[in-house]
Formats: sequence, structure tokens, C-alpha cells
Amino acid sequence: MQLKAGSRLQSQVCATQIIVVKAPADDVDVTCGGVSMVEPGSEADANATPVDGMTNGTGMGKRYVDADDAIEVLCTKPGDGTLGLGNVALVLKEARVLPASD
Amino acid sequence: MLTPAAAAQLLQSPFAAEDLGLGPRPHVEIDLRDERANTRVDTGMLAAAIEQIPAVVTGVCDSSTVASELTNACDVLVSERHHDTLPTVAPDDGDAANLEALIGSLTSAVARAPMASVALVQLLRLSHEASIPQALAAESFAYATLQSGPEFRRWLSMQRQSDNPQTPEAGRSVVASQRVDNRLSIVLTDSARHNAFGVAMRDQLVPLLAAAAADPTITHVELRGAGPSFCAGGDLGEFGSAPDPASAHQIRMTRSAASHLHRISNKLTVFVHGAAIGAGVELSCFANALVASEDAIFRLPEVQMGLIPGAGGTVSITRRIGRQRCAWLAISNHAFNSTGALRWNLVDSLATDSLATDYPSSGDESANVQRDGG
Repeated sequence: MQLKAGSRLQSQVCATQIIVVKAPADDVDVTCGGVSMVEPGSEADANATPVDGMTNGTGMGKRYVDADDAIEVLCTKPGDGTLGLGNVALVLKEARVLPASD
Repeated sequence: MLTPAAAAQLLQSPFAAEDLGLGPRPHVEIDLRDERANTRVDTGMLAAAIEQIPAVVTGVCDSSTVASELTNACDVLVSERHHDTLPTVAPDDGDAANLEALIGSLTSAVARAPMASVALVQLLRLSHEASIPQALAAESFAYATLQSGPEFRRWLSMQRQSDNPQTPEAGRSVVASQRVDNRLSIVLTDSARHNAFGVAMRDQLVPLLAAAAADPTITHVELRGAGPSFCAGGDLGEFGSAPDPASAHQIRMTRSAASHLHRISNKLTVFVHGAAIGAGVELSCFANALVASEDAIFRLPEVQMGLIPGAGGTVSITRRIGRQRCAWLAISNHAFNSTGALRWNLVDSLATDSLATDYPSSGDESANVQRDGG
């Protein structure tokens, strides 16, 4: 699937929804729970089930990236699946640790 | 209290700034109750002098006083009774016996924190008509200036002698969120500490607000506090822990709950109960709809700590109640109840039911409840 910044995707196997913050130039297969994500509102495959080991969950407001930093997505609805590019899991992009400003 | 003519003489004297600004009580009261007195001065020149003076200028009004460049120039307006058109503070707004007592308590409040009081009114003079991002930057500059000042240092030294509640250990969840369809519900869950707004709460709240802004299908965002209070303000245990004022400014401008709330203000409803102090009232005032319970108490303690409201309050509160009432609330440290808050449109409506939120609520798995760890 060709993505662009602002593209929204939803999981077929859990409640997860994401927004693409940084889109790769090439077509990619963004997955959740190991199963391709689809555009919101499209028919989900009722028989789809999460792949073993791809059920670590997503967090509301968390950012996820791939190892090459080619794609970044933002979770706008959390769920049980693990986000991935194909069968490679995306990793959580931790926020910089900032001290108090008071 | 000075007549307009006496005020013009004082404020236009060559060393007015030094004489007033370095004095023990940089507060000037001008009597605006006699329209004929205004004809004896050049009101344009007096208004320009007010704008320059490093002191708090209070205009004393009555029902005969009409809006003018003089009333606009004053930092605070007071009147014996509620005024129909001018944003004055009346004695009963401040639980004062009469006008003299109200003015006297304001003068005392300025004298306790002269640098912070004057910095606040100077900030409001320049920021109240600026865009919200510009006004937030200006607020942060002024806050940074005061962070290294003697009044805040004195407050800190007194604090260290008292017992502060411990800040939450790193990684503890202090914010929960729930996304159902097009609605995002956010609950501050550090109820034992009255949802003190510290680093952990900032860092857990900001990503939720960013996601709400990014996703156009989130059309309603609700923000509540669990436990006895919505939010009792900044984390007292963290005050004085910023690395330095310049870094603190950089942090405020890069991870700002205020600017994230501003971005979603048109879809944001905040429900306030119990204490809404400091950041608690400042942040909630960004909402398009602000609902308060009858027990809600609003207070801005920062000026009396030698600071100014620094969580966006000089921007959000000013745009609800005007800069003159905002200046009085912040300088006086007055605990404003929900009736007063509604009368001034600080809040939009009062809730008939208790807004105290129990959390965690009964587990509804389909509802997708999530507690956000650090």
C-alpha cells in the first residue's frame, strides 16, 4: 500500500488505529498483530487472527518507527496487536526525557 | 487614591518609573468615578503613561464610569457594585467588606510580591491581544525571568522547611484514557495527590492530546480528574528543580500541555470539581466548554510565590474573563468559588451532579480502557 502523511489505518485483528506521521516512498505492508492493516471503514477479514508473538499491544498517543526510520506512525486508538512492517515489528519511539520546567 | 489629574502629574514626572517601580508598593489607584475629572487631563497621555509605568494601576469605577481609553489602560478595575459593562472586581467577588477593603487587600498583595505582580501586568498589557502561540511564548519568557528572582527564591526557601508530598516514582501511571468511537476520554488519576501537575502528568497527557489533534475522527475530547479534585496545581515538590530558566523556557515551549490543549480546544470539554488551582484552572480554561461542579474552587497562587501563572493561564484565563480580572485573580490569590466563576464566565456552566470521578471504573473491555505508563 502507498502511504502518505495523514493516512489512517486500522487493524483487522484488534481495536488498533493509527495515523501515518512519516510515510516511506515505497509501497509497504503495515501490519498489526501480523495481519495487514486496512483503511478505516473497509471490510475486515472476519477469519483473520493475530500471529503468535505479535500481540504486545499498542498505546494511545505512542509513536512507532521501523529500524531504518523510514516510517513513523501514531496510535490513535489502542489495541492488543503489535504494529509491524510485514512480519518485522515496529519499535516504540520513546519521548526524550525532559526535566521539570518549574 | 489619586484623581486623574494627580495621577497624570505622578505618572508623567521624569522619574516616575524609578519612584514607583522601586518603591515598596508599586500600586497606583486612580479614581475614575467622576467623569468631569477626566476633562481636566489629557486622557490619551495619561493612558500612555499607564502603559509605561512599572507598577500595577487600578482604576476605581462606579456605575457612572464608562469605557474609555483610561479604563482600557488600567491593569485592574474595581467598583463598589457589579458594573453592567466594565470588567470590574466588586468587593463581594473578593469576599471583601467594602471597596476600601478590596483595594487595601490588593495593595497588600502587590507589596508582598512586587516584582511578580508588576511582571504579570506588564505581560498582560502586551499579550492580551496577541495570538495564542505568541502569548504563550511571552508568558514563558516572563515566567523564566521570575524563576531566578528573589521572590521565588524566598518562597522556595520557606517551602523546603515544610513537608511536601513526594512526587510519583518514575513510570507510575497518573493519566488514563479511553477511546470509544469518535470520543476520547482522559482522566487524571493521581487522586491521592489531588492530580498535582508534575513531569509525569505532563509527559503522559501530552501524547494523548497530540493524538487527539492528529486524528480528525476524534471529534470529542473530555478531560476529568479522579478523586477529590480536578487538579490542585503544579507539583510543589518539583518547584525549583528546573535546570535553569533558559532550559525551562525551552521545555515549556516544546512539551506544552497548554499549546496541545489549544490545538484541540474546539472539541474539548473539561469537567472541574474540587480544587482547580494554578495549572488546574489554567489548562482547563483552554476548553471550548468548561463545566464546573458547585464545589469547585479556582485559585492562582503563582504571583504570591514570586512567579506568574506559567501553564498558559495568562492566555487562557485572559481570553475568558479579560486581562483586568485575570490580573486581580492572579495577584490576589483569591479562592474563587463556582458561583463567582460562572458570573464572570470563567466557566461556561455548572453541573448539577457531582463530577467526582471514580477510577478505575468497572472493567468494560470493549471500551478499550488504557492506563498509560511512563
